[in-house]
This record gives sequence, structure tokens and C-alpha cells, in this order.
Amino acid sequence: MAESNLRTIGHGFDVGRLNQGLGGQARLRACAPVPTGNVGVGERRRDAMAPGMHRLALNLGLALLVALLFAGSLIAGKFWVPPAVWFSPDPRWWIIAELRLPRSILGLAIGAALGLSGAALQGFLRNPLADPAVVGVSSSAALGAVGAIVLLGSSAPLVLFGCAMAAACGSMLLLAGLAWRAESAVAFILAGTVLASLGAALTSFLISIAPNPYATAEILDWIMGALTDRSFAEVQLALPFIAIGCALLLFTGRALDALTLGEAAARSMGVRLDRVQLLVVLGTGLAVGASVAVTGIVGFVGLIVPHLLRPLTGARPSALLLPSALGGAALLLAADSLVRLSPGPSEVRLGVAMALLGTPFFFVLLLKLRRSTWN
Amino acid sequence: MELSISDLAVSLGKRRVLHGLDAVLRPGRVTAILGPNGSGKSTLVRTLAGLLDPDAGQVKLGGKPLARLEPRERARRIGYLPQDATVHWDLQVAEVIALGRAPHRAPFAGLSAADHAAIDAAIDATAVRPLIDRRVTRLSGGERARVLLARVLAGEPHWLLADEPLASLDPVHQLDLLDRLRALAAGGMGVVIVLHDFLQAARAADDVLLLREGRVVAFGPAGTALAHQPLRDAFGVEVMVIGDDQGRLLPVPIGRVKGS
Repeated sequence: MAESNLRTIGHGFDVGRLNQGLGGQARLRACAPVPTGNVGVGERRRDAMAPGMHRLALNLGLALLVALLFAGSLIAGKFWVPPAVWFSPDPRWWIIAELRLPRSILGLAIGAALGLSGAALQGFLRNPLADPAVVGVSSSAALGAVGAIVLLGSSAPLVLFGCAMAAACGSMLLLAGLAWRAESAVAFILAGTVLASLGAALTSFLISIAPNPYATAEILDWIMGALTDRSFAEVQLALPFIAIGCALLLFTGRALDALTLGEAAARSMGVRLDRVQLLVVLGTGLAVGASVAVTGIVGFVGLIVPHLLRPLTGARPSALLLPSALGGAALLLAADSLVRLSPGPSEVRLGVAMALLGTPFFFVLLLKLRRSTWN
Repeated sequence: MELSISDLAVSLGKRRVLHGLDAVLRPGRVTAILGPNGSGKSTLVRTLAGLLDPDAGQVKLGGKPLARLEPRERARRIGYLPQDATVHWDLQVAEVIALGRAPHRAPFAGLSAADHAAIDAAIDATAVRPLIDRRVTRLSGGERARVLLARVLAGEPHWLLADEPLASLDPVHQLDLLDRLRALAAGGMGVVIVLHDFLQAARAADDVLLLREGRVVAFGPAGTALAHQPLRDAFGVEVMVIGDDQGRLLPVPIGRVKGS
């Protein structure tokens, strides 16, 4: 198994797909002369016969990892709270119950939302470069929150959340309208990119007309993305939307698989593309919109996680959905625990840390891709 | 179960592509939709597959209008093999073939015994068993064509509609695929293939629907439809019909019709 996994890493990502994101029709090209001899054929056949067992083991492993990281994120921080004082009157327990627990719950939920929507979008658009940022949901949610701070002069959690959710869902509906009945994924990506740029431009505009430096500082603070000082109020606001969004996205699996063969083939297999598009747009809008609404922009999770897991799950989009949700949760919990340990009085912002972590990852991916095309 | 079209008119965007077509396609036979480039062949086969909505007229399957079938129901009866052989992710061959069961499976359900039986039968019918552990990107064009055909067959359709299935294959693989399609028709399936080469049609088809500019030039048994005059009308070429040593009539293009 390990062997065949290793073999797939090199071409989980290739030029043909990069092209097809924009060309729409470029054929998937075999880019690496990978040894396809008889080595391990029998072994892989057994895998093909029992993929269910393999998938279950992977999901259980990831769930265990999430549980460990969740516990770890409760323990770790500027104050280490050993399990010995849990559920005791010790004030350190208060740190866990009131500060870290909501933060960890949000980290788990938001990581799952970002990872899952990244996997669903990559499957829907048949493009490994897709993530929630590409379709404009993150920047629209940010625009809504910034609008609340600048125009309404309020940064109460409920107002921020409501405005961010409204903007995210509004822009997703706009996206669905723009890409409605379009023949190819290209229209969807273009419309999303336009919305993302529009959201970013309007956000900059709002910052430029911000009434006072205090508001500007508040906006910048919020945009950078962090889980710091989040309370159960935010958990209660975001969790239902994230849960509904994730549930909608999990229902797209079978259709995403069929889309592997192209839109015409998928429709001929009984897939209703308009319905799938609605599920993807609504699911992403709710899950990611609610996430951004409470944390600000945390990028790269939706992009990285499906890529990390594809070698383990195989390339079938439906097999990637649940693992990506778990993987996203694990990644965000780990990253959030690490930023808390950063030296100095304040933490590194989670959004900043993810970007710092994400970009080198992306470079490595590109290098690997180039190497495999040259060989 | 007959696939019939009556007074069928279809547009792509604002352009009318098919103008009032009538035909009754019969199961158990290979029907070739034949015509020059731009004559509306692909549009017709996509309409037959339920992917395009007619402006007027209708397609009926066993007397029931196609538009009234629920998409999954339609997909269980009509399999469609697009011309585009792209597989967007690097799936294993076994996974690609299993996709063909999509119209039969409930959400989140694994493959049932019936699914496995259908997949096995499709694998045997296309002789792809040695390939099932390979990745689709590592297949040759001929192998990929067989795998994608197996995908359609795994859905156990009554009708198989294939858009230019021979387009990128060398002669040996063309003949191999045509033989498989003929065997499927002999087993009772309705097989419709889009072709632009009338020699291939002469080799493969029982019936031929000859199109030119969205209208039917001739429809009938290959022997009558592939004659000198209909081919001249449809393609604008002079054709000499010669017999081969097995008594089959083969139309050979010998030159363009003057003034066309």
C-alpha cells in the first residue's frame, strides 16, 4: 500500500489540470513515466477489492488525530494546563473551559469547513487549484464584516457575524446566478474570481474611508484571521451554519465522481448539474461564510488539505470529502496550538501563520510538478 | 424498446441545428448517424441522450417521451459515450468503470452484488480485465476507449449512444471496437454511433441515418442509404460502390461533385 501511495504523490497534481482550469478542455496528460511494471499489481488489486476497509481505516486514523490535537490544543498555550487539574476548582481549569474550549471547538469546525469545501470545490471544478478563496466567498464575508465596522460603526459579534454571513451568501447567490446553466466550469471560476476581486476592492475602499484610525486598526486586526479570544457566543453563532454547509457539501460526492468524466457524461448518468452547483455554492457559502465571519480570513487550508490527502485516498473526489474535513480540522487545530506557543507577549496571527506555511508548501508542489514533467 | 424521434428541431444557442427530423431507431441493430462535419450528428445524438432539449418535436423511448423520464431513470436506459475522452482525475480503471453504476446507486451506498456483477460483465465485454489496476492516464488511446466503453456498459443500458467512438483510434482498434459494438447489438442492445466516414459505416452499421445541414437525406438499411445518390447529396462527393471479397458493398469516395 505504502508503495502505491508513494507512487501517486508525484502526479496528484499535474500540468494538464493546471491548463484545464482555464482551457476547460485540455486533456489530462500523463506527465511522469512512472514505473507501471508488475510490481505490486496483486497487492493493489486487493486494495481495489476492499477500498471500503482502507477508507474506514484512514478516516478513523484522521479522527483519532483530530481528537488528539483537540486535547492538545486545550492543554497547550502560554499556560500549560495539565490534565490533572481538569474539572477542578483550580483557576487554570477556567482557562480551558472559558477560553480554550470555544477556541478549540471553533478551530475544529472551521478547519473542517475549509478542508471540506476545498475538496468539494476542487472536485466540482475539476481543478486542483480551486479553494474557497477562488470563488470569492472569503473576501465577500470579509467585506460584510468590514462594512459592519465602517458603515454601521459596530463590532459586536452578532452584527459582524450577521453582516459577514449576509455578504457571503449574497455573493454566492450572485455567483450561482452568473454561472447558472453555464456549459463549463470556466464560467464558474471566472465569475468567482471577479467576485473575489470585487470583494477585495470594496474592502480596500471601505478601509480607506474608515472614520478613524481605531476602526482601521480593528479592521486589519480582524482581517488577519485569528481564533484568539473567541467565546461560546461565537461558537453558537457559527456552528449551526457550518454544520448545515458541511452536510450539504457531503451530499455532492456521487455527483463529483461522475463529473470526473466531464459534464456531458455526468449529465448522461443522471446527475443534475444545476442541483450540484446549488449544493456546492450553498454549502460553501454557509460553511466558509460562517467560518470567516468569526475568525477573519484563514487561507490555504482548503487548498492544501485535499492535496495532502489525495495520495492516501486516491483521486476520486467523493473519497476525499470526509478525509479533507478531518484533515482540515487537524491542520487548523495544530496550527492554532502552534501560534499560541509563539514567543513574545502576543501570538502570531493564525491567518498569517497559515499563509506563511501555505506558500512554501505551494512552491514545493510546483517544483515537484515541474520535475515530474521534465523527467 | 424503440427510440423514436418525430418532427425533431433542436437549436444550439440561437442557431437552429436540426430541422424536423423523423426516424425510428430499432434495438438489436447498429445504427450509424452519418454526415459531413457540421451536419448536426453530435447534436442529434446528444438530444437522443437527453442532454439537449428540443425546440419542437420529441424523442420517445418505448413510446414514452424522454423529457418526461426522471434523469436517473433515463440514465439507466440510455448510456452515452461522449467523444471527449478526458478523465479529469487520475482514477484507477476499476474506479472509472464503477462510475457507470451511478444511476443505480443510492447516495452513500457501497457497491452491491448487482453492481459488481454488472461491472464484471462490462469488464469481460470489453476485455479490460488486465487493465483494472492501472491508472487511466497510463493507458493507450485504444485501451482508454475500451475502458470508457466499459464504464457505459456497467450501467446496463438498453441503448448505447456513442459520439465518434472511432475518432482517435488506429485501424486495428477501430475494427476491434466496431466488433464489440456489433456484438452488443447482436445481444439485443440498441447501438447508435456517430460517424463521418462512410466506409466505417458500411463496415459497422445495419441502419444508416444520413444527415446534411440538419436534415435527413436518407434513413434505412446500410445497403440503400450508402448508395451513390444519397452519399452524393449528403457529402457532395462522387462515390464508387465496390464489392469486397465477402460480398459487402463499400462506397469509396472518388472526387468532389462539380460545383458543390
